[in-house]
Amino acid sequence: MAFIEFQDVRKVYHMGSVDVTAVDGMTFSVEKGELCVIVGPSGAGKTTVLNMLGGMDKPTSGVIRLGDRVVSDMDDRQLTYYRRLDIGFVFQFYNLVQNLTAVENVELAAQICPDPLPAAEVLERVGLGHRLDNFPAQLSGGEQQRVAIARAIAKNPQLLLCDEPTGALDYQTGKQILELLQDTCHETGQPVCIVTHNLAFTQIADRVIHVREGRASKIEVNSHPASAATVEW
Amino acid sequence: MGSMFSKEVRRSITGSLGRFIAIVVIVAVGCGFFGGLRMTGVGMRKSLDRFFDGTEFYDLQLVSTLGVSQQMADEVARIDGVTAVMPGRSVDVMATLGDEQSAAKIVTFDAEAAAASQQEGDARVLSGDGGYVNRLVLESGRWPQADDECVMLYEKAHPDRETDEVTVVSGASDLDDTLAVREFKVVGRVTSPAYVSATTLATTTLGSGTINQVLFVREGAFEQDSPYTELFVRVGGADQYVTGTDEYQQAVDEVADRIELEVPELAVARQQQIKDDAQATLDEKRADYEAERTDALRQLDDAKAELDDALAQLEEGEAKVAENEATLAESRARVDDGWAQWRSGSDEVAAKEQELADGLKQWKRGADELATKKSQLAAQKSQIAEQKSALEANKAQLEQAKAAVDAYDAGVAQVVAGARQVVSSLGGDAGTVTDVTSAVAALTAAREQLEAYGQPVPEELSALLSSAEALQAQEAAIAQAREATADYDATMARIEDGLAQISAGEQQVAAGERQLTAAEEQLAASKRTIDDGQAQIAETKAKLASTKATLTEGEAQFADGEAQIARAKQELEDGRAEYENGLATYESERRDALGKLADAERQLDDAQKDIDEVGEPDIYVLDRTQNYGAASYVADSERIDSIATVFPFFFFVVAALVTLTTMTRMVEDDRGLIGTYKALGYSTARITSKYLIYGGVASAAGAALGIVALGQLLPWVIFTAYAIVYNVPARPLPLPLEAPQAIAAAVLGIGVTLVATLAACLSTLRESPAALMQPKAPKAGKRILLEHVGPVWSRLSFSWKVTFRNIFRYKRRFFMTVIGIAGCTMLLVTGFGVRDSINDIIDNQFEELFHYDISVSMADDVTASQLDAVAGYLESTPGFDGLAETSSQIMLGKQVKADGKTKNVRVQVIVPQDEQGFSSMVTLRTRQGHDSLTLGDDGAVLTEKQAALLGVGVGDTLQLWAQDDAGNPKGEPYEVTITGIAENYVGSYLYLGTGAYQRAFGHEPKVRYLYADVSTADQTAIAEHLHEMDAVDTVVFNTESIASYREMLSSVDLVMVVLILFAAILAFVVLYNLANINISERVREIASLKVLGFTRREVDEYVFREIILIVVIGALAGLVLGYVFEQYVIVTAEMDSVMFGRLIHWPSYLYSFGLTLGFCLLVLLFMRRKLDGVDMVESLKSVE
Repeated sequence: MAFIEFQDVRKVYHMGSVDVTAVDGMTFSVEKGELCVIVGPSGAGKTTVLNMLGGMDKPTSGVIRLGDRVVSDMDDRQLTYYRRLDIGFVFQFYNLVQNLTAVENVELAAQICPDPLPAAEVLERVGLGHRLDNFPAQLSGGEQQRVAIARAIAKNPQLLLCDEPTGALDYQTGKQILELLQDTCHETGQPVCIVTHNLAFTQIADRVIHVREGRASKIEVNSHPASAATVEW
Repeated sequence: MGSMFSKEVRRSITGSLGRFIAIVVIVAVGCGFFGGLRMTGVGMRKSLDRFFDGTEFYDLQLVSTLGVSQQMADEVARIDGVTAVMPGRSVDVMATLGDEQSAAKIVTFDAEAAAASQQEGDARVLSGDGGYVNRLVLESGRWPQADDECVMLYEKAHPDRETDEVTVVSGASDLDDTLAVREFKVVGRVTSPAYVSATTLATTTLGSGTINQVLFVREGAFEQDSPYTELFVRVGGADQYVTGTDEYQQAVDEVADRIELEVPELAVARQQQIKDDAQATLDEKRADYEAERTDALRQLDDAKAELDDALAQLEEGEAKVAENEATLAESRARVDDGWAQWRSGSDEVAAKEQELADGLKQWKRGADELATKKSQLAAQKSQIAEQKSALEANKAQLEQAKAAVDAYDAGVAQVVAGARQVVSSLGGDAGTVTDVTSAVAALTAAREQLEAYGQPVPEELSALLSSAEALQAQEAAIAQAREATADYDATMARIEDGLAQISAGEQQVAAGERQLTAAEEQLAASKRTIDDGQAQIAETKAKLASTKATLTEGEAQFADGEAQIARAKQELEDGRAEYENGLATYESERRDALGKLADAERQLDDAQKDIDEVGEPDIYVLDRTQNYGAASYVADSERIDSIATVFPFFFFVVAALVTLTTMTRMVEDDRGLIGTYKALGYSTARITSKYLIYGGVASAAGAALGIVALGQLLPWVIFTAYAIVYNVPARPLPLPLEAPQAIAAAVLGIGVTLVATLAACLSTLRESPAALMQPKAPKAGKRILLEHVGPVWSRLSFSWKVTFRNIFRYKRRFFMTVIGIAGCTMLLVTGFGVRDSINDIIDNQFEELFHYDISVSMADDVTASQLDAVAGYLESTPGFDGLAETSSQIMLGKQVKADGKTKNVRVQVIVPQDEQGFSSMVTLRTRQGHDSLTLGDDGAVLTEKQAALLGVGVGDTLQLWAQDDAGNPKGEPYEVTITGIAENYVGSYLYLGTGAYQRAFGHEPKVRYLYADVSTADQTAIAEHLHEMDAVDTVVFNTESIASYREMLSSVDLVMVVLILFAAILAFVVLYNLANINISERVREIASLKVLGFTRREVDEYVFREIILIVVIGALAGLVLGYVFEQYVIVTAEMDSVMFGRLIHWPSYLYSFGLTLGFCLLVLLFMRRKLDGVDMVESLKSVE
C-alpha cells in the first residue's frame, strides 16, 4: 500500500454566496521513502493539497491516507496530534519564534513529541552546530530555513512537508536547502514532500505530482532523480 | 481626494472597531471619572443651594447674648441688602421622645405662613410671605394648628420610628420664662434647611452634646414676653450664587459687614431696651415688696402682743400659787409641831412604860426570891423532922436489939445448962458443952445415942434440941445485933445529942418563917404601885392615839393642798412652755420674715445692680458656614473634589498608554500604507492627521460618552451614599452637565489621547517611503537579565522562556498593562479597604476599645444618692458585668490654622473616678503597637483624630475653652499637657486624671456619667427604667451607634459596586487591548505553532501565560498602590468626629487580587475564541 494516498479528494470553499472548488477529485499516491514534489501553477490547488495533507484543513470529500491512518476522517483534535506527531512542516518564511534561539526553536517542537531527536544533534546535521544559541534575527535566511528544517526533523515525523522551502531564499541558498532535504530523504529514508511552483524541482524528486485545476494532471516517477546540487533554475 | 482620504479614515475605524472601542472606553472611563467626580462636588453644592434657595434658608443669622427684639429686627431690615428678616425663638431641652430621652431643640416657625405655603417638588416651598425664611418641607402629617402641636424632623435613617408625643423634661436654663407648653403632640414630619446633617443636627451643652431631634412649634408655645433668641436674615441677590462658593460668600459677607457696622448701635439699643424693661419690672416688684413688707411686720407685731398677754396671765397665776404655797407651809408647820408633841408624849409614855416594866421585873424577882426562900425553909423543916424521926427510930431499934441479945443469951445459958444436965445425965462430960453449937452437937449426939440404944428420947431433950437449933439459926442475926449494940451507950448519947440539935433547928426555921411573911407583905405593896402606873400609861396612850389621828388627817389635807398647788404649778409651767414656744416661733418667724425681707431686698438690690450692670450684648453675625449641616455638607463636597483630583489620574495614565500602544500598533500595521501615501505625495502632516483624527474621534466619543454617563452615575451614587447622612433632596435625574468640569475633563482626555497618538506616529513618519515599503524587521529576540541567573533559567520550559522574553520585549505594552491592572486592583483594594475601615469602626471601637454597653449621662446637679441609685439599678440588671463612674463635660479645643482661620474641635472631657474600673469599660491604647496607656493622676490622653485635627502631640499643651450657646469658645482657656494619644474611631474624648483635671479647672471633677457593661436583650426596659429615675439625662446604647455605622456600610456597598464595575472596565480595556495586540502581532507565530501541532491548550498557554504574568505583576503593584490610595481616600473623606480604621484586612487584598485575576480570565476566555480563529494558513502567508 502506498504511503500517502489521495483518493478523489475534493475541497470546496464557500466564499460568501460563491462556491470555489479548490481541489476537484484529486487522486494520487506516494510510496514510502520517496521524495515527492507537488508542482503546479498558482491557483492550481497545490496549497490546498498541502493544507489537507498537513492536517490543517479537511477535504470536503474523498479519502486521504498517510501510512495506515485515514487523515480525512480525523476530527480537530486528532488532526492536532496528527500534525504534532506525524508531520514536520517547513514554511516558506521559516516561521521561527523570534524570541527563541536556534536550539530553542528546535526544542520547542521537540518537546511536544514523544520520541524527538536531540536538538543540538539535528542542528549539527543541518550544519548549524556553531549557531545553536543565536536568535533567528541573528541568522541569515538560509540558516533560518535550516533551523526550520531541523525543527521539523527533530520531531521525528512520518512525513516532512515543505511549502516552497526556497521561496524566500536566493538561488544558492535555495539549492543548499534542497540538497539538505534530498539528503535527509535519501540518507535517513525520511519521506519528504515538497510543494512548489518551480518545475526545476521535479528533477530531484522520486515522484512528481503535477497539479492543474484541482486535479493531479500527471504523475511522474523518476527512477533516477538528479542531485539537488546539479539542478538549475 | 480629500473625501477619499476621509473615507479611508472611516474605514480604518470600522476596520478595527475593537481597537477603536478600546480607546473610546478608556477615554470614557478616564474623562467620565474625572468629570463625574468633579461634577459630584459641584452637584452636591448645587443640590444644597437648590434646597436652600427653594426654602429661603437664611444667609445670615444674628444671635445676641441678650436675645433679640422686634425693634432690632426692624433695624436690621432697614440695612441695605437685607431682603427679609425673621425673628425666631429656640431653646435646647432634654425631652422624652417616645420611649427615649434625649437632647432636643425647640424652634419656632411661622405656622400660618407654612400652612399657606405650597410645596413644589421636594426642595421648593412657595409662599406669598416674603418674610417666611427657613421654610419647612412637610414630609408627612400636617402643620401644627395648636400651640401644643409640633412637627419634627423626618428621620430618614429611622423611618419606622414613631414618636407621637414629646415631653419636655428640663432645659439648659430655667424654662419657666421661656416655654409656655411642655407637652407636644407630633402632628407631622418635616425637612428643614437648617438641619441637613442627619447625624449631628446641632451641638448643645445638654446631654451628650448633640441635638437628636428638632421640634418646630408655633409662636404660642413660647412665653410671649420672652425675647427672641435669633434673627434670620436673607441677603438680596445671594441666591444667584451657589452656596458655599466664594462668590456667594462674598455677596453675603458684604451685607454681613454692613450689619456688623450696625452691631454696636444695635447692641446699645438692645441694652437700653433690656434695662428699661427690666427696670419697669423691678419697680413693680419693689412696690410689691414694700407692701408685703408692711404686712409682714404688722403681722409680727400682732403676734408679739398676743404673746405678751399670755405672759401676764402666767405671771398672775404664778403669784396665786406662791400665796397658796405659803398657807400650805404654815399649816405644815402646825402639823409638824403636833407631830413633835405627839412624838415627845409618845417618848414619855415609852419611858414610863420602861420604868414600869423595870419595877415589874424587880417585883417578879422579889417574888421569886421569896418563893425560893419559902421552899428552902420548908425543905429545912422537913429535913429536921426526918432527922428527928430517924433518930427516934434508931433509939427504938437499939433498945430492941439489946432486948433480943439479952433474951438470946438467956436462952443459950438455959440450953447449955439443960444440954450439960442431959450430957451429964447420960454420962458425958458436961464441960464440953459451952455454947450453942456444942450444945446442938451434944444434944444431937445424945438423941442419936438414945435412939441408937433405942431408949426413948426424953421430951426435955427434943425440946432442948429444937431450942438449941432455933438458937443456932439466930446466931448470924444476933451477931449483927450484938455488933450494933456494941456501942450502945455511945450511940444512945449521940442520938440524944442529935435530938437536941434538931430542936434548935426547929426554932431557927420558925424564925425564918416569920421573916418571909414580912417580905410577902412588902411585895404585895409594890405590886399595887405598878398596877397603878400601868393604868395611867394606858390612859396617856389613848390620848396620844387620838392626837395622831388628828395629825394624820391634817397630813392628808396638806398633801391634797400640795397636789393642788403642784397641778397649778404644772399648768403654769405648761403655760410658760407654751409661751416660750410661742415666743421662739415668733422669734424665728420674725427672723425668717426679716431674713426673707432682707433677701428680697437684697435680691431687689441685686436685680437693680444687674440692671445697672447690664452691658452691651455680644451680637454675633453668623453665616451658613456656622450652620453645622450646611458647613459639613459643603466640607464633604469639597472632600469629593480633592478625591476627584487624584482618583482619575490613573484612568488618564492608562488612557494615554492604551492609546499609545494602540496607535503604535496601528501605525506599524499601516507601515506600507504610510509608505504608499508618502510615495503618492501626501505630506507628513496630512498622513499624521489620519491618526490624529482617529485618536481624536475615539477620544472625543469616549469623552462625550464618559462625561455624559458618569456625569450622571457618579454624582447619583455618591449623592445616594451621602443621603444617609444628609437630608438634602437630590436633584432629579438627568443632572445638568457642569460645563467647566465637563470641558476640563474632555480637554484632558482628548489631549492625552492626541499627544499619545502623535508620539506613536512620529518615529514611523520620519522614515523614508522606501524604508516604509519594506516590512519592518521583527523586533529581535534578546536575552533578558533573568537568563543570566542560570539555575532559574535552565529550569524554565520554553514557553516560560518565551513568556519572559516577550514580557520584556514590549515594555510599553508591559507598562500599560501593569499600570492598568494595578489601577484595577487599586480600585478594588480601595473599595474593600474603605469597607474594612468602616467595619473596623464597629469592630475596634465597640469590641476592642469600648467594653461597655450603656452610657448614662446624669444632670449637672445630680446628687451622690441619685448616682448611687442609678449605679445600684444597673448592678441589679441581669447580665451586669461592671460599671465605671466618670465626670463628663463638653469643651472646645481650638486650633489656629496657617491661614488664620481657627478650627474648633469639641471634645468630651472624661475624668474617671477609678481608673481600674474605668479601664475595664474603655481600653486606652495606642493604635500602632497597641501599647496600653495609663492615665494616672496627672494623665491627659487625647483621642487620635482630635490630636491630629488640633495638631497636638504628647508633651504639647492643649487649651480647652467652655463654649457659649453659639458654640464659640468663651472665657479663659484651661490648659492641660497631653501625655498620650489613644486609638479611637468614634467620638472625641479627652481622658484626664483627677489631678490633671484639678490643676486645669481648679476644682474637683463632678461625677455625672456612668459606663456599664450590661449584656442584655431587653434594652428598652432598661432605658425606660433609667429614664424614670431622677437626674438621668441620656441613656445611650452602643448598639445604636453600631447600627448607624452598619447603615453607613450599606451606602459604601453602592460605591463598592461602582468601583468594582470600573475596575472591571479598566481591566477589560487594558487586557483586551494587550491580548488583541499580542495576538494580531503574533498571528504567524500562533499559526506556526498550530501547524507544529500545538494543542489548543498549549497555544492558549503560550499566548496567555505572559498576559497572566503581567496581570499578576500589575495586581501585586495594585495591592501596594491600593493601600496608599485607600489611606488617602480615608483620611480625606472622614469627618471630624469619626476616624475610620486604618487597616485593610488581608481578605480584602485577596478579594481584590482574585477579582483582578477573575477579570483577566474573563477577558482571556473571550480572547481565546479569537485565538481559535487564527487560521493556520496565516503561517503560509508572506510577511507583509
